[in-house]
Amino acid sequence: MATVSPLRAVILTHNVLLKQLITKGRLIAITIFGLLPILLGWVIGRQSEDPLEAGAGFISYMGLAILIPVVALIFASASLGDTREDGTLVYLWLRPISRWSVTGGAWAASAVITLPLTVIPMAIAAILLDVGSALIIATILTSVLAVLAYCGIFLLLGLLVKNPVIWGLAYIFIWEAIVASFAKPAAALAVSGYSRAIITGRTGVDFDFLFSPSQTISIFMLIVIMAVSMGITTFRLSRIEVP
Amino acid sequence: MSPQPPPPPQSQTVNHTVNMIEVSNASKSFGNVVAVSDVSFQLNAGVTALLGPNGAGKSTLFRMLCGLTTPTSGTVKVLGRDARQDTPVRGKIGLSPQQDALFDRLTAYEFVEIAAKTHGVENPRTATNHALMLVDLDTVTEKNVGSFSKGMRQRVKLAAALVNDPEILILDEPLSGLDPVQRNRMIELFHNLGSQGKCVLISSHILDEVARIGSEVLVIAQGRLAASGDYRSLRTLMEDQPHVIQITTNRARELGAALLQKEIIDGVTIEDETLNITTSTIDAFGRSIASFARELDISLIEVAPMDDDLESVFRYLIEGK
Repeated sequence: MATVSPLRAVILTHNVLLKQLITKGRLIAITIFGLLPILLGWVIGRQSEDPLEAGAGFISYMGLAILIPVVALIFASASLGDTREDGTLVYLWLRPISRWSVTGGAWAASAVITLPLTVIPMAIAAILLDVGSALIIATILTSVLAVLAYCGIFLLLGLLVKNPVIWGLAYIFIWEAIVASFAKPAAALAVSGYSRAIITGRTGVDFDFLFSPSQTISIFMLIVIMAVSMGITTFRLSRIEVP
Repeated sequence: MSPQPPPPPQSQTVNHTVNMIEVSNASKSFGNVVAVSDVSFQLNAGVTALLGPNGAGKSTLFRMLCGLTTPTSGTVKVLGRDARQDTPVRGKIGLSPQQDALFDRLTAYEFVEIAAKTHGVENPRTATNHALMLVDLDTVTEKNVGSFSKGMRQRVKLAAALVNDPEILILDEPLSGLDPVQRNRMIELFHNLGSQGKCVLISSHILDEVARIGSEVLVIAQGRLAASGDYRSLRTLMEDQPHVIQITTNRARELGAALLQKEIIDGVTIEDETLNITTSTIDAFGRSIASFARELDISLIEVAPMDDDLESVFRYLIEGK
């Protein structure tokens, strides 16, 4: 019996879970959801007096605060969470592969499906805003980083709680949208605080946010959030009671 | 053609200095509920049936063996290792879990192949085809397992458990949902695997099934190991207990009186056309009841054992009544 390399184990886990995650209903619902920012981007681009500021605000508040986290929540929380709920986790858990590989594969599966469903509509919206390449590049960069970070967080959430979508929505709309807007320490613990900082930093639009870290720190922190979430997920996976 | 297990790989060795499965004073509680209580046993090559009613703790014991859950106290070792901590030993275990869940969007081939690949099987394509053939699913390899019947789902789980040619096979109710022909073929396969030196542990709550699965039996009830050893000894033990049989007849009172007079029953209660008799000589009763009724010109409408179920066996083994 040959040893399975960690990378191969990640790919195998990714392949299985990706197939499980892609359902017709999810894809249709999320594609329709993704059309909304495209439409709004087009409208804002034509009607705003300061399209750059309006566009950056729209990307920050619509794309980064709602579209990306919600789509990431749906896929990432289901990636391992569904396997734990329905009992199929055993088919990954009881294999001679590392827990890291299972985490990595599950995270990759959710990111691979979330990225095109969010970054493409966000990029199209940024193009339709018609304010130059800075916003387009900032949108793509920030969206990718935010997707990776949110997938890490919601992957963990799926393994930690029952009904992760409800908990996740509470996190998105209460913690990230409300608490983090009023409390600086909370903003430092929210993905949106860092992703907005990248958008404003790259476009030069100043929203006078409560929490404004530099772009470098923001990028670094999003990567840290992703890595820490995955580390905790792996730790949790090694101690979980597998049904 | 009878199903033949894959030939044992030459690289695979069995460490004979340790038991293949060793459970020492293992207990598992979920809050106040004790699922497994102070269970100890050792197993080596061969087929062993784990017999117990639903909720007896069979699946929890299997989950502990595979490392899916940790014992609250005691130790559980597979090939001398703890499967929860030891990654390589997990490659030597094949588990067919009780739950029906599968990756429903995968085809049967993909489901088994992913098991082969994650086990690091050197030729996953050949191993997958062989495992599917062993369970008679080689004609439906491209169908999604989500569209499978219960019996087919059961067999695809078995194929996935067999694909890495494991030293230890842990099969949780693997025959449930199978038709009689498939059931016979799978039992034959289990025996072939056992005779190849593999440790095959199979759970069931059906007594007749256990009689055919293996001569070695572990009986678990209320989380405790109630009996273990050769099935025939267990059967003899069970035959010593008084049996309760219900007879529906057109002349219950006359038949009851006559049976008591002949001393082939110990006691009787009568309700309308139904007799509930108790006998310690079940074989003699079985041989004589039909001819006896014929002699008396009494019609027997139904003769049904009331205690030929596991609950009564366990009650007898545990409580002696």
